[in-house]
Amino acid sequence: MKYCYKIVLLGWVLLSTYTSWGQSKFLPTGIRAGFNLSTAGKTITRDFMSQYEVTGDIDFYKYLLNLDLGTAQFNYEEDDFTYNLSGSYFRTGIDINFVNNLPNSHALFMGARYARSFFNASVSWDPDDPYWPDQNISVEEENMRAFWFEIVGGMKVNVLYNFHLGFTARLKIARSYYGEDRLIPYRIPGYGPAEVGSMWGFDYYISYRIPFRKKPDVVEKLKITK
Amino acid sequence: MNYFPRYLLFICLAGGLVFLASCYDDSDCVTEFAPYININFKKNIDRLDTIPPVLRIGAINSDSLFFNRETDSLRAKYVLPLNLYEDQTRFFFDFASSQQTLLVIYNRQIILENPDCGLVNIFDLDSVNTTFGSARIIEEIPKFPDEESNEINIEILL
Repeated sequence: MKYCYKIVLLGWVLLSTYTSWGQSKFLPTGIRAGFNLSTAGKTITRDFMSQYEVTGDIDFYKYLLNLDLGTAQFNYEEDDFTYNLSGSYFRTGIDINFVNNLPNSHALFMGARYARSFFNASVSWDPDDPYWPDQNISVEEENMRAFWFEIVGGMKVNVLYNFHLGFTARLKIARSYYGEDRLIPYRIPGYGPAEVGSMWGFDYYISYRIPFRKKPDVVEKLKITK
Repeated sequence: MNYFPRYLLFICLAGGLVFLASCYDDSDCVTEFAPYININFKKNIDRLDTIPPVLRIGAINSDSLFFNRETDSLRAKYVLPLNLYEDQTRFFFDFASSQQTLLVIYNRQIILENPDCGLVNIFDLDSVNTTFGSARIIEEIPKFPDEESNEINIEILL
């Protein structure tokens, strides 16, 4: 999580510096906070997993600084084994909003993300082997970590008052995990199946936008109209 | 707000398409048992296959015999199962006048191949020691029974 704060802080400092040069259009006009409906839906419909994710973004002119925070838990239970994996993750990155000039803070965006995941896994297994006396195999693996990058695209539509609905399609690439000794992870929280080096992902979001101020372009238009 | 119906339609269509594209096939089940090693006896002089006069082959901690001269025929190559509960397996070879051993040391990792298939052991041979002849690792990754590989893992020179 400390990396997450550093990245957000760095982004803020860079953009603040830039805005201090007189580019007032780069000042944020609002912050949007939301919830991942896809992971919530999977949590309800799939009994082996529980995953929740919150998301937020803040605008700097047509750029959106994003942060997703999530937690996930997977439990697989069969007759001869129990497998548990739990952890948390974050994604952060910048999007370009191609419809920044539209009213109501819609967003049609493309961007990139850097993501990290921190997780633990454990297994208890009673294999039925014909040559060796039956024993239980118990393995716990702690402090496993993973990182990957994402190329994202999607949209956020203002549907009612300040509520937004939207989706994000993600191409997850360059997945790398480490920290495993005896237990190779089956899934990576926030990423998906650990054995797949790159994959698609798709998430629906609902979010609420808290406006700070009106967009400079909109203010200008209002003045002209008057 | 008049853009809303078109946006919503696009969200639904794009969502459905990307969701379908993101599906991936689950892999086939392998097996839940530990892998086997193929060992090959060779003559030290010319490196040609040789058939040792072994009577029985078994392992410490196992009640099973992997070879019994009374029921099996002698050969130069044997397939032996590794102990999935420990990081090493000590095989014994009973000859007419003595008992010799082969110690195989390996690294074990467990992977959940698929929740429907169960867990699988991944082994990686580390070192071998023998009280007869000299042994060396040829192929570090042992195969599973259903992979039907003839690849030699350990070569023993007599």
